[in-house]
Amino acid sequence: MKRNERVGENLNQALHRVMESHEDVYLIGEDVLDPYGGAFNITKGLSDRFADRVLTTPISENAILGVANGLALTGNKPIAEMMFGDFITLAFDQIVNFSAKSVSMYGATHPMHLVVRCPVGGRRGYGPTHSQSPQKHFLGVPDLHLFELSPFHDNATVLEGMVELGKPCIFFEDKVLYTERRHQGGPVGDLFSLEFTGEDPFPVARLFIEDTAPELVIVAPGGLAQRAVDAARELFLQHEIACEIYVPSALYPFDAQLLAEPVARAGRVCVVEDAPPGGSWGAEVAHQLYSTCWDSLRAPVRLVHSADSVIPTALHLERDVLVSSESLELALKELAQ
Amino acid sequence: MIEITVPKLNNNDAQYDLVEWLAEDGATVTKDDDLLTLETSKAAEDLVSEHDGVLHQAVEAGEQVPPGAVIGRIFADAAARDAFLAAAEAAAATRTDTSGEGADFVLTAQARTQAAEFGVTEEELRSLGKRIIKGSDVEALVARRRASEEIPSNRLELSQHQRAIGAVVTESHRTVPASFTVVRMRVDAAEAATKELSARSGTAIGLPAVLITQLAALRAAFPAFFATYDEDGYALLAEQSHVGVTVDLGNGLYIPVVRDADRLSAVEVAEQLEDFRFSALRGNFRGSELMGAAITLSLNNDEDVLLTQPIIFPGQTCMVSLGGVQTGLELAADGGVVAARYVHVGLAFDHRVVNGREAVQFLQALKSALQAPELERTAEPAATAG
Repeated sequence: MKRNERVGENLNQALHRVMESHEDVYLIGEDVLDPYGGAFNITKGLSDRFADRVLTTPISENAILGVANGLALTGNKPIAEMMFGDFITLAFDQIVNFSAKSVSMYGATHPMHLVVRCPVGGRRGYGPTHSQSPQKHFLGVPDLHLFELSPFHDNATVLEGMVELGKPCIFFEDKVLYTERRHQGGPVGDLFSLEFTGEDPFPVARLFIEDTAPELVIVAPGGLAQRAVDAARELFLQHEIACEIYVPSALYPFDAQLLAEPVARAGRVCVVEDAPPGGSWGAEVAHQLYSTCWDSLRAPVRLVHSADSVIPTALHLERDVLVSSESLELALKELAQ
Repeated sequence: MIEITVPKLNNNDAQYDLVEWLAEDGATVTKDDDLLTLETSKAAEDLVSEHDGVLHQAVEAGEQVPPGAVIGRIFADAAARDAFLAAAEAAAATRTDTSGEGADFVLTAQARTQAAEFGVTEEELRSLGKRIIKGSDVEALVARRRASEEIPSNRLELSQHQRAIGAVVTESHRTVPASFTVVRMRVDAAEAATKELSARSGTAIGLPAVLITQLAALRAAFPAFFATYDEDGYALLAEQSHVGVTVDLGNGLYIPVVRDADRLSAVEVAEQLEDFRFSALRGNFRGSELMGAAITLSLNNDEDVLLTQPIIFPGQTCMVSLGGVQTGLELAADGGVVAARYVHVGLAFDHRVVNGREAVQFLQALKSALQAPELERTAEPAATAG
């Protein structure tokens, strides 16, 4: 296979482009300066090109967001990096009580052009405090928008969309994706065709098997996409159960309208995520699907999460806690019956 | 010959990029010469030769390669390299028709099993023109192959039921020396009577119901017509007037039996015929309903049918057939011309038991009964014992 750029390279290039085209975009975070370029190399080359707009900070998430909020409030477009998404809890107050509320609490709508980048997810053996998926903690905050990195979407478009939205955004980036190849056109693996549905800059990637009516719909954010593809591939090759996979870019607010027709047609849907069970994004999506597709559902919406547990460091123990393509395949097989 | 394999460079990546070859294909290299550059998600690394020899590149620059993969070879000299390449080329040539590697389609497990079971070749699978092949695709392919190979397109498979009918007709022609007589019968009176009775009883009564009752009543006067021929020179007379009647609504020909038809009214017979039609539609007759007839009435009373010559059921001596009702002009007794409604009633009879003269008498008796129908007959106590 010829090489495609890696997802991390694509994200790095997107940051270069957005800083180049917007003089009011700042980047702020820990260890983001060259030559280190951030813990995952995503900010590589930025401080060399835009020295006065790339701010490196001590370990101080709450302060990072404080500075970013001040920049946003005064009309700039800051992008803040959490070195690990787990640390975003330290900035929870700044995000929920200041960033999100500033859009509306001053009497007139005040655009807040703020993006918070969060490397999340496990499967690297980084342990309980560097492997979490904290998306659920930010659901349902008025004016706070959540997005997720995917191997299908072009980050130049997604990042530009978030920077211009005028509402604070959190971008969850599954760290495993950084080193994966980005998918650029053509079929996904040997089975799935890819097309986009919904509107730019945050369309939903739709993966489907041509000429085959799907029996199941899988809703999977970017970090889960490859595991969903692997599980769906096995399910089809071994049992001829066809799945259609939807990979949204925007997690919240989530618009289930795009899914209503395909879910109603298949009658069975599975929502998969890396967070532990309870008050999760999957539950939010399931609720919307119950509201829109109640009469057409042939089985309860199936949620697949990680185990109700902290995430172990040892790889073999971590594997049992997080969603794997095998555990997902098992859940899908049950759902299909 | 030494194989150059991809070393494991980190734990994160399943594949590395072969960025470029630093030594040319076929070049002579010495130990510690740079051979190629591999790039992981973290870093680029050069691989050096561990031996002296002639290089063969097995993978092109730009490809992704997993740890452990063979990406090149070092040969002792150019001759050894040439010999290896020639052998590899020959092996590839013989492999092309059987190898499934590099196939441009994906098979599901079901498709793979089906293909193996029916000996479907890769060429046949490719001819489907599909990228993804399912079990049902292979099934369809096998069905098409079977259809084109084994069954000519003009061959129609006969149902079990039709084969059974064929066997009976063949047996009849083979064993029964049949003769045949037809008589024309006026039905104006019978039609008027059935119309009046239908209105009164709420049951649709047709000529067949009337004919069945009249036919059944003839057993006392014509016992030989209700009999079974015995090879030893006897006719075994039936003791009950069970009348078989043909019913065919497109799902096969059936001959259910109106039992003791001589004790039934036309209304009761008409109701039974109605039940028979439902059973014929659904094909759910019980075996007992189709057995025990002493004589059979073949109904061919569709419009424009003059008459159909029936066979004689092996085990019976006669079959009566009813044609369609005709309208014509007749001379009345006073010399005037009147419209007349009539049918042709035929009688096929076993000449070993019945002769033409009796056949005519039988038909004349039927004609008299039909022309002055006595439809109100109620069930009488059995006239004969048994």
